[in-house]
Amino acid sequence: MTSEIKWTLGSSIRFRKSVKSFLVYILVILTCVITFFPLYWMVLTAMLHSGSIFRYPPLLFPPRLSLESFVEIMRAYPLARWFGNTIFVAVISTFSALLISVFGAYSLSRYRFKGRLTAITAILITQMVPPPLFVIPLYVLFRDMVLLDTYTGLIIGHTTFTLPLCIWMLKGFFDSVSTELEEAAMLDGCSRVGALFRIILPLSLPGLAATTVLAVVTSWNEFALAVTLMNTKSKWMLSVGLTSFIGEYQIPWNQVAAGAIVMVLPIVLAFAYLQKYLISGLSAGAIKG
Amino acid sequence: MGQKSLQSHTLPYIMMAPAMAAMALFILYPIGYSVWLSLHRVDFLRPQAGRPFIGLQNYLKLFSDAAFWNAAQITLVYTTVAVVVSFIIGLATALLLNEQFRGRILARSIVIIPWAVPYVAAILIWKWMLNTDFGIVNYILLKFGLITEGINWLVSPVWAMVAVLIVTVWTQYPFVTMMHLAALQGIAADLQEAATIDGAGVLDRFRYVTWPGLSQVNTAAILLLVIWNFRRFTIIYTMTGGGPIRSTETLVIQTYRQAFSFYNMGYASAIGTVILGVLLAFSLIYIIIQYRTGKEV
Repeated sequence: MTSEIKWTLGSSIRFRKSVKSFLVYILVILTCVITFFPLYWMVLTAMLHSGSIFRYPPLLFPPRLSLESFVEIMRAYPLARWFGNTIFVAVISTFSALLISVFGAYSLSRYRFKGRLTAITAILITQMVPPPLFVIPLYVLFRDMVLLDTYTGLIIGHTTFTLPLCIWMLKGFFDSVSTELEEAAMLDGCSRVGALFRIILPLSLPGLAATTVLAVVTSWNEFALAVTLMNTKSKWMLSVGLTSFIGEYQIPWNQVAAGAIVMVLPIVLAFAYLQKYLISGLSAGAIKG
Repeated sequence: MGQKSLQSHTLPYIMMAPAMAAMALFILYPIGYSVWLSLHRVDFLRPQAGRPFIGLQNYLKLFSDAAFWNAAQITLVYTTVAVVVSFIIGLATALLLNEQFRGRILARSIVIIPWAVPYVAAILIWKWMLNTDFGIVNYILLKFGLITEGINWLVSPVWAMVAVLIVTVWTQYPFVTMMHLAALQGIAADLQEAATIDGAGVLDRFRYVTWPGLSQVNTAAILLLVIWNFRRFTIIYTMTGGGPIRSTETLVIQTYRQAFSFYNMGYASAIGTVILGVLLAFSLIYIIIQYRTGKEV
């Protein structure tokens, strides 16, 4: 009797659980398919032959694929050059931003000094500035400094653009490292800057990685400054070069998609690699505040 | 907690100096300069006219300009819809991906990808997908009988706004999901279990255990979403340029067009300053309200 009741109870719970997990699977698959579809479509379009782009109805799984669009787009546009420009600007500005913000973040995290709140307020305010309000004065300023259409100008722009974010995130990571370790190191004769480099930075490596990725991505994606400051076509960033494809009717869609892939791939790979750092990093930076 | 050893008089300032100098020179000074510009008539097409001080004339002109109020209204619609929809989809996806199932890590990785896709690339993909005659979106909608003829996505004012919103939500909802997933991991599983044993249903558990546990991350996520969407530039500018017939011209787009299509730097700066002012006021009020309610609870 009792065992029978137990059995029915167990099976009904098991039944409800399996219904639930079935529903979860359906929803997960649906979410993933809808979310991922645009990227699938981008890859597919890029690998179509020029002749079959305007096929209607479109084929979800076309039988013949090729890489001709990549070859064509590399031949017709200075895509490799834009790619190099973008990497160059992103690497230099990320490096500069990190170098400056490590010290700033450490200072904000470990000291309570006069003007600290002002500094924090200034950092937060910069996050609310609409891009054009930042671009207009920089454009006027760089025009006077003859920095328009130079990498130096854009690098300065990207460095300062990412700086507040870097400081803010790194401060969050430094906050979560206990002060006891560095105090112990300093008792053992380590200087404060030495403690920063030997104790704090190694301990907040995930945070440093997350901040680096975010800075690189910000520079890589940045558009408002890049389109305003750089005129010469050969000095363009990828974001500006690819935007010039929009509205140019002679560029076939498979080549446009190929261009998009060139811009997406490095970033998605970097994210995939650093994803676990990024999630813990972002939540620490955003939640702890 | 070892205050003594942490005390120092000059080092924090020295360490802070480069960051502050860079920010002062290239962010705070420019903002100040923008405010200065907004009080002057600055027309790059007529440099011989100089940059005369005109007081609040730019602002007066602004507030009596129908185009400004149109842009303000569009900004409000865009921001509200983008924030609400991204938040709901992001939260729902986080709750879904927090369930136990096989392939969870893979699913999480897939969902997060759009956030990593550069805006410009996203625009290129979506413009193709939303192509009126050959786009896959119209094809699917037609196939399922949801529409009877292809939508002119970027030609019709209403659909252009919808198109911009679709791209916005697609690129930003994963961020909300990421933040919530991180926070959900912090809500103790035994608390959920205890609630289940006490007979709490799914909805009750969400209301009394999950939702309160998410309050901090909700506050942060909503504030960030409002700021980001209110000052959104790249997606809208590259997708529609503010058109058709100004139907997607938000305040930020109007600022940029005034500055770099018409070279009215002073007038553009006035619009930009208003945007910054609104965001500052909003953030301040929002934070104060959150702080107060947080204290009462």
